[in-house]
Amino acid sequence: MSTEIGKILGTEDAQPLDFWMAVAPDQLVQLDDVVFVTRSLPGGGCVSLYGIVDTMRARHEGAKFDSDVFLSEQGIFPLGHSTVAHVSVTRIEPEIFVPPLPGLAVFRAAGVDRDQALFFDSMRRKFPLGLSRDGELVYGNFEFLDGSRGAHINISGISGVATKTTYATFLLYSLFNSDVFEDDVTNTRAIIFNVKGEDLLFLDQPNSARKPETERDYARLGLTPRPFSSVAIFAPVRKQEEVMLPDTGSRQAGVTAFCWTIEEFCRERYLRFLFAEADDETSHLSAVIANVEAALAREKNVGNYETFDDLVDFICLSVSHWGAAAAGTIAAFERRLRAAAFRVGHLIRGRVSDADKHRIDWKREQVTVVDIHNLHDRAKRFVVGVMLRRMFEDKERMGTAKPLVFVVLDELNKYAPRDGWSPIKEVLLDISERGRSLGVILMGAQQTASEVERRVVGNCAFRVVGRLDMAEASRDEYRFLSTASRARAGILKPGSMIVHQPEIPTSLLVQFPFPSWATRVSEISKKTSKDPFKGF
Amino acid sequence: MAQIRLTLDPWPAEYESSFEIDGFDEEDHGKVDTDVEGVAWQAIEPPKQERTGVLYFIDGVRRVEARVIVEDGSGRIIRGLYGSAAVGAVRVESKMASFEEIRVKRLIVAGTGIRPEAELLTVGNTQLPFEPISVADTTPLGPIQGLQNLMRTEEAILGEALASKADCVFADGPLTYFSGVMQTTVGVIKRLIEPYLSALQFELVRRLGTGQRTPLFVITRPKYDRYSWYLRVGQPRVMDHDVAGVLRLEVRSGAGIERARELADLSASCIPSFVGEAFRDPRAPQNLLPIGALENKLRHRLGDSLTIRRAIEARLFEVSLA
Repeated sequence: MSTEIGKILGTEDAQPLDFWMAVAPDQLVQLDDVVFVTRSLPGGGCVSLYGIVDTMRARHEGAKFDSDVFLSEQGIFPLGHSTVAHVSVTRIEPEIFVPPLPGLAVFRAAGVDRDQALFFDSMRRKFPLGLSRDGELVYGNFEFLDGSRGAHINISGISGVATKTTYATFLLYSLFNSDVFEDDVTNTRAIIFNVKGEDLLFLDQPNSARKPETERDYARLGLTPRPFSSVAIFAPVRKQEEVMLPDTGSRQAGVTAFCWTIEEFCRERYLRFLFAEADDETSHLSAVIANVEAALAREKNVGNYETFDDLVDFICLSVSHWGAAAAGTIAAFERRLRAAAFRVGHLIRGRVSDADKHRIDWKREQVTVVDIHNLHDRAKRFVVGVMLRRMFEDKERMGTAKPLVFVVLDELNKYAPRDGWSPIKEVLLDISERGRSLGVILMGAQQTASEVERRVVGNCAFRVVGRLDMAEASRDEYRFLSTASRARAGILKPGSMIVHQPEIPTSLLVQFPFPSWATRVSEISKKTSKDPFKGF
Repeated sequence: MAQIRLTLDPWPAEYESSFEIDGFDEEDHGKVDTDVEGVAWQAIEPPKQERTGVLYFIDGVRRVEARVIVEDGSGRIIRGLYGSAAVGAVRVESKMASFEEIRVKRLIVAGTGIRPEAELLTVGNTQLPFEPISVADTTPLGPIQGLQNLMRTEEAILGEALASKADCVFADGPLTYFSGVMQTTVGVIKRLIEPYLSALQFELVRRLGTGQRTPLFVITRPKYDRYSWYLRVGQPRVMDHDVAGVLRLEVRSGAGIERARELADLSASCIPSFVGEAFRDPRAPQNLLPIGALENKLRHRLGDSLTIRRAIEARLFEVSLA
């Protein structure tokens, strides 16, 4: 039931879109509380103003000097206290923009009132975003994620404390387990790039470090704490080893080593992704790259090359025959190609027995984790670029948006930097702009949104921040945060995020539960733990 | 010829002086006995002690909302006013000071014995009931004195009600309005008007140190006998006159000499700690901090004077039209 917690102040302006309330002395009101006030209109009818507490302050009343506080605490000078809260209005029902009148009772919104305040009542399909500070469910409108009215999620925050990837995986878990996909759930897919550590290699393992309250939090969210049920894990093949073993430290079992064949590399024109550094883009160079790609695609005998280095030698010998270019450009091309080959070469192999087994098949399981954390930046870009392009082309061929594909990619600033151009940035821009209609949903994350291409961030319907650097928080990219939220972004604890979604005019603080899947070896439940050295 | 030296009266000029004694009238002596405590006429400094019990400070404020001329058809000039008065208390217990018992009254006062009708004025969303009182006085100041008397009586009623709950009740001003002879309420007088002492005895008052009091003296007046003592609560600055920072306190003699001495010692040990600096209160140190805060609070509780005046104007306008 909604309960009265205070009254509208008359000592500060009350406006239709924001007002101050005095908090009743016996009531606990905190930031993020959802409140409403109803006023009657002259001539009949009522207007309800719903909002969220975003600033609070307490003061001495009757004190003239700052030092009066000492006298008051010695029992010499009687002073009063006041606690007031500022409310940002989220919704006015019906839409008659009038200020609430001083003296009106303000209620804490619960049940249907809360759903009204946060637009949950008008969300036809919704999924849990997390829990509010007071333990209530916070929903996201799925129509703004699945492409029907909007798509994409962008998450910003300092590495290590902002828990960006954990929140992204929680959102995936919440989406896959909350019936929001309805019948599509079996065919919906997610591709997660594991860019740092090996946290995401255990998504299919239950978390033994789970605390008792985790169970309760999941229950509140309408979820059961379990690991992801359908997971495929791919890791790059080890360098300088003939046997195709995944290059991972903490987990070998159930991890598939991935690589591409030289034939595939040539046929599918992946060459350009070897030149994915932002500074590789000069028109002369890209003309050469395009020429070489075309020539390689025509070449019949590429299957004969044993190693990628052999192919590189062949390319360097032939490049000047495939098209005219200045000697300097050719030299630049060769230099870059050899540098890339050194970093990426082991992922493109001549003779691969059972090549299909080592190709990343993102359609096989619900969630595909592609581990790239051990790779050099160039190789990371190559893998991400190739993967995303292949997936995007697949979706284009399918011609339907449903079932959806989610792509979780951290360090977006590396792949779609604000300045410069690269083939991966092109793919990511494509996903941002056309993914909505093709059913490709990008869940991108980065430390600083200001370093990411504007259009990639701008197309995201959901904007999320974890702990932010204060200097970063004051940038234009975070205008969707209120001043108060911005200040709070600087002190957010791991497990708390501020989420903005299109329908709700103010950003909401949500907390998400401890992962119910393991995020490191030590968290794997004893029962199901497998010997990581079993493969040897 | 003796050298002339000017010393400063530290209260701001917009207040009346705190030191209005105009001379030492030796004739008055018969009514004042300075030997009641049985000690030599010298400064007494009771040992400082931790406040343990409950203390109350009482004060009242009043405000004339509008002056009126009452027309009764007789051709007489009858003056009256709409006024507000508030009284209240500050309760002090160990490290807690809080406002208590704040009472606000609205009055229509008319002079010349005329009793006007009660009125209910609508101000915003509240209704202010104005109670009628009449005073016999026909002078222009009569109604204001009526309002003042009512406020002082309310203070006395409150003080008497609180006396049983406290170690000591300090009321602002003399105890003229306290009817109970046995009352233990202590009146705190900031403005010294009568010396009650001879010029020689008053020398001690000038020399008192902070926290020191004179011995008790009894002032004998019909229906108004009381024990009194001077107490210094603040040291004058070099340029101030030497009676600056001195209060006179009194308690009804019905309280008994023992109780009076206890109260005098209590006042000397505790009152200096309630003294503020000049930047907090222009009448410091005599205007004690709880009293100053209470005055502000009470004045605030009288409401906005302009709003009330507008409501009075609106009411009188309606009546004139009818």
